[in-house]
Amino acid sequence: MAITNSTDTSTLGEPDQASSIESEYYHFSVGADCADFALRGNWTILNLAELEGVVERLGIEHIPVRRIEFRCGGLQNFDLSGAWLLYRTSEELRQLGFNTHFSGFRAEHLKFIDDVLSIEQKAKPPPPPLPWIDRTGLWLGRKGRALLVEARDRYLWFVSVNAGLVATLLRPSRFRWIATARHIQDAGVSAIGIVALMAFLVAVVLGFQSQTQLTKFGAQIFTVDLVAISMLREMGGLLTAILVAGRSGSAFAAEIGVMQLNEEVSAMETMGIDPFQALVLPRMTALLICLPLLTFIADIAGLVGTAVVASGMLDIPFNLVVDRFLSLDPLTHFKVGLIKAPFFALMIGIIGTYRGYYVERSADAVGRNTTSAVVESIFMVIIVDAIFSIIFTELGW
Amino acid sequence: MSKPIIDVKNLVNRFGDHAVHDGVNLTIFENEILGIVGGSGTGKSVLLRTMLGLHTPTEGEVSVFGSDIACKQSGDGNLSFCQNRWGVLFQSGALFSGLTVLENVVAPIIENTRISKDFAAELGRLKLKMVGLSEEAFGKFPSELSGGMIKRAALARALATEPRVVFLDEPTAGLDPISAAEFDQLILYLREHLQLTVVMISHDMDSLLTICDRLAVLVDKAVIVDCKEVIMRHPHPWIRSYFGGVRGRAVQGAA
Repeated sequence: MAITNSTDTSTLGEPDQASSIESEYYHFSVGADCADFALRGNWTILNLAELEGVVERLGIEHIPVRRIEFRCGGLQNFDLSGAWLLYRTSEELRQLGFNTHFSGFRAEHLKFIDDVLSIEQKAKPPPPPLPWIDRTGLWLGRKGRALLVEARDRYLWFVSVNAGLVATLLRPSRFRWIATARHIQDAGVSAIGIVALMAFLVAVVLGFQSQTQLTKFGAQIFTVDLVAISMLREMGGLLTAILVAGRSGSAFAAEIGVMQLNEEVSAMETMGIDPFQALVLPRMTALLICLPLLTFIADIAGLVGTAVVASGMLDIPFNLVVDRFLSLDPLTHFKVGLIKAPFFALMIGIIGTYRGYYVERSADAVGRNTTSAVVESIFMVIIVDAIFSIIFTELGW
Repeated sequence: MSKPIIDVKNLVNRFGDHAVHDGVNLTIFENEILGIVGGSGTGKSVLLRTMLGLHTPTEGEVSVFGSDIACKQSGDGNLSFCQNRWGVLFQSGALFSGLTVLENVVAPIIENTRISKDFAAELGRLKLKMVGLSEEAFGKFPSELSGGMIKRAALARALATEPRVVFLDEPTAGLDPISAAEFDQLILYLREHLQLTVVMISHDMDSLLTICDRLAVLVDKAVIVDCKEVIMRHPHPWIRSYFGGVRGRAVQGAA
């Protein structure tokens, strides 16, 4: 910005001095009885950043004259945003007590802004904000109501799932074998590799960790006990369930959620297809079949891991490892681990499908519900696991 | 005629063995409203996406504002030049579902300019009022809006950065006739006041015949384009049955 003063004074505020400021977008000059604001160049949205706050930057409020003439003839490109900025600048100047006049302005823009302003005048003013105590009350009320609604939804869900189950038991021909098979493929078969690898690695890691501690007591051989028992009783089932909750629980919530968004679920209902039979039961059945089998695979992989770490890396002879393992009553531990799997499957299935079914109609909500499906089902799996631990301790298994 | 803004030359689009476009030529002039018409599967949307640079054509040239956008060798410079100068209204609105209506309109302004947040919000309000939305709708999320309001909000977003051209994909689809007529008038009003060039895909005979200056009909993998009076009397069998059907005649009789 180049400031050129016609006399030697350096500020605009000095009375009786004609002065001017020039830039790419305007030429501002103060005359004896009227200030001239000649616009030029491009007043378009892409340049507006440089034109914002022009009143303060030019220090117009200090000029001696009260009349400002906007000369718009020199504008090259001018768009609605530019017109709005000009209008706002003029309003700002009016409030500072200036008279503003326009010349050479494009009439259509002026009319446009008049239209917008007339809409604005018709609009009701926004209601004043409520006092904080009311807002807190409203917030609590909304949260409480949401909790009640969710409790009701969960109850209804439980009832509907059971009704769907009973209806299918009464008419087994209605059961959807093909859908179930597809979900077995998705939730079970394609998870085999990752489940086996994970169990194997966890066993190896556990083996190394316990070995370092047990060697201090000269009890290396107990590494086999520790790893095999913890894999069979807890780690195999729990880790598989957590993995499946992450893979399939989220998939259930997302699939059914998107179907809700597309109104596919509503379409089913209008055709007399029970969505519980069509969507929920096949998924639950598939999980009930797959999770125990996956747990079994995880157990085997865990035992292989135990054997590898014990005989391969800790130099315990393989036949000694096998002997040690067989003396542990492995069948009981195996049973303890496997019994829990169907209950984990129920939790994952019911939470995943519930989160998909009760979704608001927005992409956001599907994402949120998928997240909570995973978090809740992992949480519930751990709770169930804890309950079983207590039961088995009481039973002395 | 005024100066051309978009020029499509010998456009060929093939998906596998299936050619959707085979030698499409189309020129769009400044400040006109051009309607694109065609049966389902004749590639109206593909043509639109090609003009927007969302789809790379198999062969042919598309130049917008005089620069070739289909040419990938030139880098993305041309495309980003265009992206500030056109606005698109997608068929289902495509409003960002995580943002409120006002934030949706302000987003492109903030992204493309260095304007302060407050002034950008003011401009956003201006655009939303311009398309006829009231203050109460500004803070709502797209999922809380009706179909007509979504279209209006999406139009406001398309106009946020003061484009020279707007592309409308079925702007009146899914609206009741009264809202559709209002939307047509809105487009005419905006064209007049903002010197917009409008390219619209539509099946709505009312809007085609009320607001379009020229019609481009996609038939036989090419485009027949002329002013609407000529197109309506065109001897091509598909065009005759399109405009000669019961619905078409009813509209023409009323017009």
